[in-house]
Amino acid sequence: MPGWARAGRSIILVTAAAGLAACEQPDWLTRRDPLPPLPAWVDPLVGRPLAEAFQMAPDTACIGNTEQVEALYGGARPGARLSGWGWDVQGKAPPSRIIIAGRDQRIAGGGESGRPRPDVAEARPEVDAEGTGWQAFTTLSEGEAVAYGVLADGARICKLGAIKL
Amino acid sequence: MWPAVLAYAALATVLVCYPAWPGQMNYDGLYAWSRSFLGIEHMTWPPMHSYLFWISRKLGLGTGGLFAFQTFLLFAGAGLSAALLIRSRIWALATMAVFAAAFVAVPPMLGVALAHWRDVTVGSFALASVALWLLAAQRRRPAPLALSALMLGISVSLRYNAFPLFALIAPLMVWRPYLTPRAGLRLRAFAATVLAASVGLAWASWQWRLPDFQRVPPAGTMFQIQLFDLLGVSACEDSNFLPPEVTGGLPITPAQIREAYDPRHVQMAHEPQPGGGPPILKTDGGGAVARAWREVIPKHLGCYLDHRRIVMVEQLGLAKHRVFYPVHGGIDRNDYGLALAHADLSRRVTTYVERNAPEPWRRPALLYALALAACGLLALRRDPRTALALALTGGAFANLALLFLIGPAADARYIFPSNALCALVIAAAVAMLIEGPRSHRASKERRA
Repeated sequence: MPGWARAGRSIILVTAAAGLAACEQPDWLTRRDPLPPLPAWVDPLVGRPLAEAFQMAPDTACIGNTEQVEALYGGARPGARLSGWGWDVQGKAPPSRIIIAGRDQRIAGGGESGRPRPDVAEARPEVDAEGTGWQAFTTLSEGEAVAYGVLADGARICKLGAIKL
Repeated sequence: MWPAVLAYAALATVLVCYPAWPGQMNYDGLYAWSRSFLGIEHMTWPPMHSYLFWISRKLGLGTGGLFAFQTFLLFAGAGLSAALLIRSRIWALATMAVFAAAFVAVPPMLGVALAHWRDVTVGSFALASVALWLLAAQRRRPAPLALSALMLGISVSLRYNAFPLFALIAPLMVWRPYLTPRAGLRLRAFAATVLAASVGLAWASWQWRLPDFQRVPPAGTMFQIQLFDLLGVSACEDSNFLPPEVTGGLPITPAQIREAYDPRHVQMAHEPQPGGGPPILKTDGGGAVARAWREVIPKHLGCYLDHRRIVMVEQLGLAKHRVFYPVHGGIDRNDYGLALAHADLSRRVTTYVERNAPEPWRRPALLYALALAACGLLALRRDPRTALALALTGGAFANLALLFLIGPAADARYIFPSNALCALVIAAAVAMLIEGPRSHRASKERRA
């Protein structure tokens, strides 16, 4: 390998290593504070199997996404804050409540919709409301979290996507 | 190569503009458009964007006129630079293709180019300036050099923080106006004069509005940067350094500040907090924020730098799961009758950007690493074009350096101009490395 190519490879490797080292969130920002209290209506559901508490609606019953891990909590009460958006296709409204479950299909948190998401209304013509954004808290702090929207009948849920913690 | 350059720029303009016609717009773009007929009321944003909209409107082209113009200028600047830098026609065309491919490979570049964001216009005029400088160097004529300086001035006038892009380009333009080792004093004086006049005009455009040359209230947004820093340092040090005016006198705990703090955008701290903390007001507290900043930051430099580092991680698209705000996606509701002409096509391109932007190998940071590596390789081959490549890449890094200190947010668009400079360096360097520096014999033959 010629000298200039060896040097080029070294530059790329050093830059990539420096870049990757800079990527991690610092300890002072993540997993430092305990998980805030879950919404009162979620507490009695935590730990119950999804199938016992709700009926599963087909995936086409809603559209949406689980977009972001906004915060990770630690200490005595680990967990995470997630956000995304959702839309109940038949009810023509955002699902007002959100359920979070782990891979074991047990309920591990929840939250509510109502955050303004004008970008969703702009991008999806079938969504004609701006408050489709949701935020939820979960006791999960690792693995995968799956979000479900509670449909207008209050008995059925549909999947809004999953995210790795 | 002129026909090829113009055809390339026209084709790229159609491909970028058609799906998003007449240009995606958020609040910033709509505000600049509205000021083109309502007049400039303050200098929170430099008024040049509104003046360009005014020209587009007066020509009967609406918002689409500026959208097409800035896109054409961007690709024409890159194409002409390639044609003037690369000796072989084939490799010059390949350079143009690689530059265009960067918009597909690094999706935030495409996402940002779809919108009426002044960051795109800054990049367009910057590349036009580089191309005209290369033209001046090739023809050894002062007129293109003066035009290049004018383009540089327009680029600088569009954003208060745009000058670092030219931090190395401008001195090189004065030192080597025609990019040759020797230059006469008169030529250097000419280059310095036109550059000073252009940058001076850019500065003047921030002081006096057109057409009545009146002074209007200045930007006054420094407190937002300082508030962002105080939030970050408070979160890091586990102490509340916010002046009471910011929370309306209500107590706030460090944990609540951490809930409010988001390294992606200071604006997010003003949203209602999930933990029920007091609202964080958008206020300078009658100077209290600036006083607290001056007192706190020098004492907590470590935390300040760490807060700034994670903002830059977001800015460069290096965060674990995402690139922040890589595309706007539409035109916000407005009273001006502005709407997308091909909403479905715009949605598809927006989805492409959103879906592919988080891919690790498609993050904007890679452009900077590759541009730096390209400069290193050119230097090792003793290519005389290294100085130019270094000046462009240095400008890109200077842009990042200033953003590191003053960025109140990490929107992907803020680094669009420096992304474009890096993409040009990478695309051209590949061809330059393949064809190698001109041999002494070839140079002699050319002179003969």
